Amino acid sequence: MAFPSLKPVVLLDATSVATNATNTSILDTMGFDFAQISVDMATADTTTHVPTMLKLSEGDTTDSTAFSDISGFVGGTGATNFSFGTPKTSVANLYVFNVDLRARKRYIKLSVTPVTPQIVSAAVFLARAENSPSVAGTARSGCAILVEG
Amino acid sequence: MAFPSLFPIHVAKTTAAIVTAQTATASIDTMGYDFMQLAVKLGTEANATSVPTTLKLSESDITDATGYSDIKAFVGGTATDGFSLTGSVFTATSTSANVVFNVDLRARKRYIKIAMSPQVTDALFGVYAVLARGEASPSTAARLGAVTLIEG
Repeated sequence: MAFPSLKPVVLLDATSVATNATNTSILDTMGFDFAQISVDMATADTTTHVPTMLKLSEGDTTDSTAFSDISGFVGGTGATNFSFGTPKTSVANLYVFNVDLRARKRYIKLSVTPVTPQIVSAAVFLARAENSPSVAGTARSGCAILVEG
Repeated sequence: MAFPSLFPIHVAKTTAAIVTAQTATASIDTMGYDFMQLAVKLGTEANATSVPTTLKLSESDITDATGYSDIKAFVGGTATDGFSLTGSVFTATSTSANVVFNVDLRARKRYIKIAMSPQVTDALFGVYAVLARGEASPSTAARLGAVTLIEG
């Protein structure tokens, strides 16, 4: 089998995020046309406890002032926002962003703010690469040991 | 763009340390997919000899714990095992995953289990998987097991 050219990136290690605290992480998407970003938030207290903030922004540099929100990828109730849906109170809540990177700037920033303390983690799988990251090495495949079979 | 049919799974995520000799396991149902990429992220170890005691994948047709058998190529250890666990990999401070498994599921049983035992108490353990090359695209949040799916 020719393996698909996927590159994993751990955006946020599992971390307990306090009420109204914002965790952010920046993703370098260079060389890839697609990203699937999944954000895992622990079981919600109630079905009304949607995140205070969950959004993607983009920038040409990693400077914090360079980022602007990406329309359609900002959670909320506005016309251009995505709707959070109803949080689950018995299992973890997974929010998945499928991002066409061809229309995006190089750096994508994830920002997440829970309404009550929650354990949050986020991972990315970059796909449709210009070149296959098929060998080990943190720069290419995003890891130190690559095992295939 | 037609989005690729990827199915993300946060297999294991914890803020609690895994103590020495404890084995953390998690199973993944791969039904309907031909490929899986599994990324394992561990805490930074104190020295180069503190490689995991166990880091492996096993497979089974059922979820019963007794049904699993090791997949030789995916058993970490010494040169005689499937792959080597190099100490320096685990001592370097990195934001990247330590180990990535690319698994051709066509030759595998339905359930894949990952098992990891640290040699010393480990501060962090995260396992993130993505299933790919699905028979059908999970194009809705419900099919993904997600609360919300945002595309654009």
